[in-house]
Amino acid sequence: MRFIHTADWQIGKVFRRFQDKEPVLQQARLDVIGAIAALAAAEGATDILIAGDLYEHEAPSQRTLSEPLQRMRQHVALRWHVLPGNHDPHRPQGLWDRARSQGLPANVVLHLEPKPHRVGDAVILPAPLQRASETRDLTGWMDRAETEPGLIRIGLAHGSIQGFGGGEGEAKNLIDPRRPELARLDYLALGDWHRTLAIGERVHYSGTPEPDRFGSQDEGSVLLVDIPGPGAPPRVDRRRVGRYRWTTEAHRLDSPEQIDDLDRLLRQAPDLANHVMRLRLEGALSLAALALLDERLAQLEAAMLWLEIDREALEVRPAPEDLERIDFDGVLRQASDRLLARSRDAGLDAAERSLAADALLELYRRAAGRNGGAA
Amino acid sequence: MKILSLSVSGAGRFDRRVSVTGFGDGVNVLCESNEAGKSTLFKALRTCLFERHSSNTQDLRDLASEGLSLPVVVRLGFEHGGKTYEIEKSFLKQRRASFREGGREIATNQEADEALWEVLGVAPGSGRTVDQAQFGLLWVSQGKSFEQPALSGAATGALAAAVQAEVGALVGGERARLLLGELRRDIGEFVTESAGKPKAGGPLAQALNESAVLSGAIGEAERKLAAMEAQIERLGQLRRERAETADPEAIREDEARLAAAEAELTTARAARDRLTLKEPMLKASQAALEEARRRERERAERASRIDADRALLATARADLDRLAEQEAAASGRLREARAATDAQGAAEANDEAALARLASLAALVSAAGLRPDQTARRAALAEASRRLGEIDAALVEAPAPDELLDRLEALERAIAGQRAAIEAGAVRIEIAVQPAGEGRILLDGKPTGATRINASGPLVIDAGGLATLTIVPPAGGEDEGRKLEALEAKRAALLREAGFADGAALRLAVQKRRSLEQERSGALGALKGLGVGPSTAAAELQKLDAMLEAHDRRLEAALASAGLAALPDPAAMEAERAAIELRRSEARAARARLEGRKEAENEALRRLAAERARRQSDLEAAERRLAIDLALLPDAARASLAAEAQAAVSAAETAFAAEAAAVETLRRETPDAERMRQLEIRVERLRSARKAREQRLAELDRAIANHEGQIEIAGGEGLGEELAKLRDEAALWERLAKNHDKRVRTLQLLRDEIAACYDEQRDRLHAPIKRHLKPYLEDVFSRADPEFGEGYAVDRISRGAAQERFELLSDGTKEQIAVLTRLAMGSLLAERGQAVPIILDDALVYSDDERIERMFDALGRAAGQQQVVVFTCRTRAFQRLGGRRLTLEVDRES
Repeated sequence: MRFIHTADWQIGKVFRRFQDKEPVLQQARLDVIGAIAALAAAEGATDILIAGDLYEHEAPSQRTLSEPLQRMRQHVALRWHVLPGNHDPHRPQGLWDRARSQGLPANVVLHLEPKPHRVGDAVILPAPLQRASETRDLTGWMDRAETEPGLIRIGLAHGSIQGFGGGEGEAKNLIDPRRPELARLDYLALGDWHRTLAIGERVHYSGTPEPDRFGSQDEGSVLLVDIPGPGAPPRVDRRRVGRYRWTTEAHRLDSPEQIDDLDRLLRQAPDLANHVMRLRLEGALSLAALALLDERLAQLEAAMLWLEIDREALEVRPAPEDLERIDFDGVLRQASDRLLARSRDAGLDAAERSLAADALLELYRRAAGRNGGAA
Repeated sequence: MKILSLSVSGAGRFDRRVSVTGFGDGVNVLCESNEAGKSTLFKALRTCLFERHSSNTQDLRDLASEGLSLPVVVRLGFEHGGKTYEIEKSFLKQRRASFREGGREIATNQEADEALWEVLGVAPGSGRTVDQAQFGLLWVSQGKSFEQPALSGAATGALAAAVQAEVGALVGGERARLLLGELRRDIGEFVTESAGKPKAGGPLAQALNESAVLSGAIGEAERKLAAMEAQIERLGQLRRERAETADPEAIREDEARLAAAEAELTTARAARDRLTLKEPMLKASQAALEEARRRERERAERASRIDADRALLATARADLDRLAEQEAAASGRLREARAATDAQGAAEANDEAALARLASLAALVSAAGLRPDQTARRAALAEASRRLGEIDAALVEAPAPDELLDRLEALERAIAGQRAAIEAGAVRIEIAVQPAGEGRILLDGKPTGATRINASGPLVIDAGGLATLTIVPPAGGEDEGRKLEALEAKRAALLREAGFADGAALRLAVQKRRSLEQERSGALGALKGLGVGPSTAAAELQKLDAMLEAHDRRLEAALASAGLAALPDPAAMEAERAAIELRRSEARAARARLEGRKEAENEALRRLAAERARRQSDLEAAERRLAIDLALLPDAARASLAAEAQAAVSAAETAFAAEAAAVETLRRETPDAERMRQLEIRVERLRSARKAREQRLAELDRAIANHEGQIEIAGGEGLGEELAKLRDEAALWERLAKNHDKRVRTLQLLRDEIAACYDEQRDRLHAPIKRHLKPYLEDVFSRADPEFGEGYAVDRISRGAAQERFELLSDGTKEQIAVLTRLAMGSLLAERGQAVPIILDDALVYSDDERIERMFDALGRAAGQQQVVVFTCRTRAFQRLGGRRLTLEVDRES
């Protein structure tokens, strides 16, 4: 039995914070369906198991509801096994009833009840969620599920493995890690954890095929699973299918040279245009260096799909020449001296000091080089 | 610099050369009338100093005399830096320039233009006119005195150089001002300048507005989503309830229970129906039995009644006979009582007549007793009438009215008064005669001894031949004597006319009249005591006489009627009356007893009649009953009818017992009412439950369909996705608003710091000017403190606690402060060795008398350091300014 294990497509997720890049990111989540289908076709897998959270919202718009189904419909040689997750549980007249009432594609199988489903020489034992948060382990029924002898038993569930991750997963729907042994499963395909992860030989999280957040997996992937026969250990192969890399970087900057180093380092990354990056900066820079950093970051921002900069930990440390560039003497120099003193005044709170540093930087940007030949 | 001389030709109204003479140190005043050409002189002075002689500006052409083709020629003599100079320039025509130092020409034409500027220390500008430097600053042309000094670049330079020399170099002010402008503009894009509120249409306001709008939309979407969640939850509940309600096993059990209950109820109702049919039959049988028994009782009662009535008839007839006898006896007794009563009545009538006669006689005796009183009354009345007539006659004969006496006494008082007056006005003479003079002293020719005299008329005293003294009382004494004589004559005439010899006779007559009048009052009182007045006394006498006569006649008639010769003795009459009344009282008592007997007999008769009527009625009723009863129960059929009735009773009793046994059996078979009600309630309850279940299922189906529809619609709207979009969008705008806010606060902090530094620097810059302005302000405005704004313009004036903005001051005050500021600048420059004349052309036009005096003080103070030139048309007002008087002299030869 060879199949694709995937989960957490989160179709319909909103990316307004990425402003004009939102449609690009949303489109990528739909386009990855084609990539999965192509991989399955290439690898001879006819069944794709989607372990929950195909949709981001329980009440998606009509277009959002239809789009992934219609994409799956195009790949007639494949069977798409869909399990409701905590984001898209099966509830009365919910999105799955809506989808069914509109006519499901023939190659899409909804697993809305905990019933065995025969697929070739295997049987799928699904544990669909009927609400966002279940207090009991829905996979428990698999222990008692009778199947014909000689069939491969594949569990399909969405939730958190008990005792693993400390509740890092989204759902609180706990799953007993001994389920494969208790239910005689050859493989337990899990969703909810947005990282590719092997809990055990027979228990795997596939991760999301297209990342949707920082601090999760960098690139989207699925698992190509091959189970030779009942009881045989599965072969699990991670394959990248996602387009965008979601990365988080942290760097310390204390000199203009380090700005150059950072610039070089980031630009070494392959496929920079498909990067969605959160960059945390710390350290202390002169006003001139900060101006230089602004220029470099503006260029990097243009080179990537999205660059989010966190400079809360980056201090302004004006050099004497910074203040001279503002003026050697006079009103502006006096003002800059005052702002500098204010930014270092321990009697003020951090926000006030930060505001003074920003004001000094602003003065530098406006006045430096405009004092008729100073510097 | 100090101006020494000025002459102008070809300018304005000066077609000939006109010279201003009299310039010197201190204040110089040119007082000329309007349109005398003062402003032309001012312009000519400026043109000469600051225009190249080759200049052809519109201002210069405007300066030229209209209609003349003469050049504008200006010649100015001045002292500067301890040297004397003279510059002469000819403009527009015959252009030339000549600059002399100490009378020696040192430059001509363009060189003269520039040499002059070099001497004055003003840098040539890039254009045709040179910068007027401090001259422009301190020279106030006509109509410009209200404006504060607006510094040109060079003027600023000159002033700044002076300030710098005093406080040191200050840099960056201009850059700071420009940067402040930029910052205010940038901040103004976000927030309002006045209140610092987000500016409408600005990015901050837009971000805040978008956040607020999105917040509302999120709330709405959340509400809808929550509603959908509630509907989903409710739908689940409804579906579970429907499954439970439609459970087939439960429905089967309910139906079986209902069928059993209905069967039991049907059986019970059939038994009850049978019983219902049988019970009326039992009642009919019972009624027949009771009827038979009633007929038997009726027959027996009638037989008994026949026997009783027969006995009653016999008794009643005996009673009627006895009653008739008793009535006859009572009637006899009644007749006897009536006869005795009538006899007693006749005796009483005789006694009543005797009493009436006695009463009549008593009245006569009483009337006879009144006659002596009436006789005495008549005698008193006659006496009083007579006396009154006599008094009235005496009063007529002796009239002496009180009024006459009053007039007499008034005259006598006047005479006494007059005499007293004459006595008071008399000369009192007291003569003491010495022994030798005895008899030799003559008074009005008569010798007199020692005496005292009141002389009311002339009196001659002969003092023994040694002297004659004539005593003449004061004038008026004779008049008083005549008045006295007139009064005495009047009194005599009064007595004579009244017929009295003297006052005593009159007084006696009055006394007599008054006595008579008192007697008359007594007579009138007597009449009044008899109840009559003087006018009715005679009539009353006649009336009394008639009464006495009538009385006598009535007495005689009564005696005759009673057969008496005289009136009887009242005591005998009283004894007779008492005897008659005693007898009458005894007769009345006897008659009352007879009346009682009559009433008792009458009552006995009425009672006997009633008893007889009752017994008669009983007799008749018994006879009627007996006739009826005998008709129904003849004595001959009495035995047979009794046997028939008893047989009918026995038959009815047998039939009733049979029906009662049958009903009792049915009652045992039929459930009681409580049991029936119980069965009915159970069936009703089970049927109701079935109906309720069916209705509930229908309701659940409708509610489920309704919720499914609503959830489907809500889900179709993509609420969850929409809400996520809104939240993301709101977060985006909130971040943007936060960023804008931080940006604004950053810019505001920068602005505030730069502004604070700028203000500090500017205050230092203004310090020298303020120092020089202070005494001038003190001259005009007591304890006024200036505050400078941009440049060197006064922005506010503080007087005491009040702060006033310059533009809100009165025109006069604004003009005065502007002039004083120039004086202060002039002082500052003069102190630095750059003294420039201060020229005021027609200034201080709005100053009142008091204020202009103070302004003159300030000009006087300024004149101590530099030359002050004043052009004015207000000769009288500026008379008190003092200083030198400038004059215009026309060069007749030019």
